[in-house]
Amino acid sequence: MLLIGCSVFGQEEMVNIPFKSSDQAKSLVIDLNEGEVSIVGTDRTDVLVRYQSHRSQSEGEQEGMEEKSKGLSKVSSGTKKIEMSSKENQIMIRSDSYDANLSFAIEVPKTIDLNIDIDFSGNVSIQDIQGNVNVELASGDIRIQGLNGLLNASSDEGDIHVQFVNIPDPKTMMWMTTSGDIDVSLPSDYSAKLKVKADKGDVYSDLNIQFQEKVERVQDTDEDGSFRYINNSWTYGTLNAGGPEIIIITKLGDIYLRKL
Amino acid sequence: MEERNNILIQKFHQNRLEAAEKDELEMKIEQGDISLEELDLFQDVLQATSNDPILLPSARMDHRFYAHLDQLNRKQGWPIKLIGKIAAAILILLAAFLGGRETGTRQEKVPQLSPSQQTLQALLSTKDISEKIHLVSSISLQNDADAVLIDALLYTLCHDESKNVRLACIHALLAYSTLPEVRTGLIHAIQFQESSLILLHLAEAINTSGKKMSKEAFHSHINKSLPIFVQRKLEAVLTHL
Repeated sequence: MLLIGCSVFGQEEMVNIPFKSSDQAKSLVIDLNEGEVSIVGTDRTDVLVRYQSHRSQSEGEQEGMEEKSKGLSKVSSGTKKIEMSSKENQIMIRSDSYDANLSFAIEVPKTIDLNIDIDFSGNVSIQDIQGNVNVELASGDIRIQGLNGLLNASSDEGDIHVQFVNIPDPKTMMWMTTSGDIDVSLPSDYSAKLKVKADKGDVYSDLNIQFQEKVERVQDTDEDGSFRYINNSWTYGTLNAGGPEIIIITKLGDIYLRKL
Repeated sequence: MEERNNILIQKFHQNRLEAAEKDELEMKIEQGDISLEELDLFQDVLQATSNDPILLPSARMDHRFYAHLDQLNRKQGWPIKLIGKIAAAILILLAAFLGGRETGTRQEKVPQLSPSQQTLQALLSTKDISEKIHLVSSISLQNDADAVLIDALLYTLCHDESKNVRLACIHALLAYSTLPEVRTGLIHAIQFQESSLILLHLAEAINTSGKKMSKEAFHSHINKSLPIFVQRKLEAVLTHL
């Protein structure tokens, strides 16, 4: 296990983490409070992690700092604990730092499963991965290009943009956000059952989907005699021949389902 | 104490109770520490696997079971009876499964688990999030989804590490939201959540059950030690209900 307490003010650090076995399934788990994460699938067999903190200061702040530190040399700037570990072909990167300027640029083998959890804020971008991806954000956008696998993704506040190239082992998938758009490009021959809800937005698509609006109504009279009526509207669709379910929900955004 | 109760129940069904333990079990039943329902649960599961010889768990399995039970016991607020049921179900199903594998060379017969039991076993044993979400979603499509499966969904909703798995549980439970025990379970689950997205979906699911729950009542169940930014975000998202 690597435990890194580092000063990362503007300075890029680089760590290589090997997998125990090149033949077995590989996975990468990232668990942060805050930070930007960018992951690219490559031909390499290990994981290369580059990370740094770009602390941005306004001109006024900069001038104030320079005045206070006049004649002094900077010896340290914000120590952050970043933990990287490898166990049974799973590499884990964890940080409890609340630093929105912390960023990770990670190169991984193409064939890998990813599980990313950012508890407070941060965006995630992923490119060219053959494996299953799970992303859980509190506040941030999810952007994925060239995914060859399953995706489950949620963000309390943020967009979800995904371009699949293939889904070799179709299973249930779920994409949810409160206040963002969900924009997904799927292979034109992919088959699935869709369960879609855009509470205050619209749903657009050029895929071969047979849509059917289904309104679930619940009617109830309480003990005090008050009457309650709930109109819960879902849009169900059959994409091509139908198949495993895809659940897509946004409260305030729009949904775009595109043909690749 | 729950650990001791489970030991007594197990020994009772395996006819391994000593005289003093028999007296202790009877006293616990009299005092209501152990319900007849709990005894029946074990009996049902044992009967379901009675076609195969009952194999006693290995010391390693015993250790894992009690470690797991101890871990569950420490979870705040979760009904202890349900924990016992789930832990017992895991143990017995695991015992039946492993027993079947071990005796497979001697006997042709392998334990036949119902689709519900298979789903439960798979859900409890996998760590793969994609697989879990797929299994959770498939439960709502099963016609024979029984109380044990619904309990498993509610348990997963409260304790799974993955926010996405918890969201999948809420959507699977929507199919059963008019059942009183599901509605109660959904309300109970509020206190275990720290994500505003989950709380929003939970509030919607409770509303879909057809019974009125005011915003104030919903707030009263929320974990008061939630970080302030989650509370603020929650305030904002609940206005979208």
